[in-house]
Amino acid sequence: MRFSTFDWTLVAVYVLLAFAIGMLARKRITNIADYLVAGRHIRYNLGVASLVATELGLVTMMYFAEQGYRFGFAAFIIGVIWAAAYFMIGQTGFVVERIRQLEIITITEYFQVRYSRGVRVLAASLLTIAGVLSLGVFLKLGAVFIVNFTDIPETSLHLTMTILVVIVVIYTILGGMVSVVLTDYVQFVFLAIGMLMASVFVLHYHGIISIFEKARELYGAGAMNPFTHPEYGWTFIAYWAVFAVSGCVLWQPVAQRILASENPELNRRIFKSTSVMFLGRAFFPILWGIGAALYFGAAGDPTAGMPKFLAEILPIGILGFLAAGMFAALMSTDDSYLIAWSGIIVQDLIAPLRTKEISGTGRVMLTRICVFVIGFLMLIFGIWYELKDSAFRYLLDVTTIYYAGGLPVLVAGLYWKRASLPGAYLAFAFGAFLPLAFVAEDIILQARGISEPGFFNELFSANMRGLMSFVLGFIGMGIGSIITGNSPALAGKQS
Amino acid sequence: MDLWEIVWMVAFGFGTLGFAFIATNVIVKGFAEARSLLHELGGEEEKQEGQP
Repeated sequence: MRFSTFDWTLVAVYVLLAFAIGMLARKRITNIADYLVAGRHIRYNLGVASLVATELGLVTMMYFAEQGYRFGFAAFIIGVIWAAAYFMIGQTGFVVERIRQLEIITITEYFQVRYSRGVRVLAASLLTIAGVLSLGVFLKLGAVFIVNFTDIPETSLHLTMTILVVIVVIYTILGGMVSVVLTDYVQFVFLAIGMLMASVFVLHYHGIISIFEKARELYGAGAMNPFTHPEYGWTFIAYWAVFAVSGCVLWQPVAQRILASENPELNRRIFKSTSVMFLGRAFFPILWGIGAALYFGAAGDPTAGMPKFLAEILPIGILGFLAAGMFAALMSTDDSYLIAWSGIIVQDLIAPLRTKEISGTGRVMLTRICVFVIGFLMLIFGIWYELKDSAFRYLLDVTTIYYAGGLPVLVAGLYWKRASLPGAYLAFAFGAFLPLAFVAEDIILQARGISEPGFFNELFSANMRGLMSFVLGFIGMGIGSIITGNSPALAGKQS
Repeated sequence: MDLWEIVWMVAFGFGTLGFAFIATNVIVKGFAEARSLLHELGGEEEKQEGQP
């Protein structure tokens, strides 16, 4: 390892800067809207920086690199579809324009406005399950990167995870969304420059054209076509397309930025610009993963390969800059997710279930307590849980728990007058069934020390399971709404 | 060189240039917006404190 004192100094400077911003922002927070959506003062450039920094986590780079390492350039399809989804939403204003006009703080709040308090609480519960289950993996992959990229011994993985959680929790509690958005900007600077520099070094090492030729030799001639690739294929492309649209409109950290922008039109501009950024978000780490596979061979560790490879080829100084960028990526995503899920728990679970109104100060305090509790849970889960498949697959499954019902409920609520309360309940129940059963079974099997795949693992392929979940979600909404129709109360809410 | 190799080369080139272009713009102009955000939130706070 060649990680020098100079590199560590760069990382330390970055962390201190993030803390300073957290402290600065703390003084400006006066109410829950400031804390959760930065008082709705976010403009275009800050909006793009924040959205990209949030969705460009260290975990994102790790799972994209893992896909690149295992499946080569065919994995680029993930970035292309995601970028296309963002561009389509930016172009049409689909969902985001209507939802921003409502002046709400969380998407689940809309479910109460359109359907009922029960739907809001159900959606918030599923979203919290999906969010907390995914956060544990975030932390673990972040620690795997840092341990393999720097000279920290591998035995210190859990200690590294603990230190990371403490840092992120403290500064999120301090500054809320204002500090998150401001640190997102600083993180965006480190990340954008660091990613471009790392990609230049990878291309320089393997050769711009020769990396494609070497990949063809390693993965096989047909491995570049995602439509015929055994890991991807048509079912994955269909599943991922609908998943990507859900990610744009339903994922609370993204939605929070939609709701924090100054006006609805601005969201469309932000989404269009972000779509191009998201091509790079996927392409660069996939390229690093492919570079690592060519360096270590197909038999190497697909998860730890990318950081080990970059640590080998990057010079001193660039190593520190990229480490600070990656550390920034970890913090920007983890802090945003902590605050997003804490906001959901307070705004959509605790507040609606209480008969007495909670004051603004009380909500900020409760949100801060939730940040601490979720941080603790993500540490415990991250240490205990072992991934069976790739991190990407796991995250797809846990997120589909919420998306598969959430998308039909949101879209039908906004665009279909007949969408009804029973339809919303059925959509969530049908959509969540397969992924929830799969993930729960997997956790139970691991707790019992059983390594064989369970019933739900063998019932469908991973791609088919995901696609079926969305189909079931839409079927649930359709059946429930057509049979029961729209009640007069709901019709009134809609108008 | 097969078709998909060319497709991914072009897509990678487009993605890299687009990323670099937007990142540069956002980095340059975002700083002023970050300062403005702090100023606006601070201004509201002062306004609230000043109210009778």
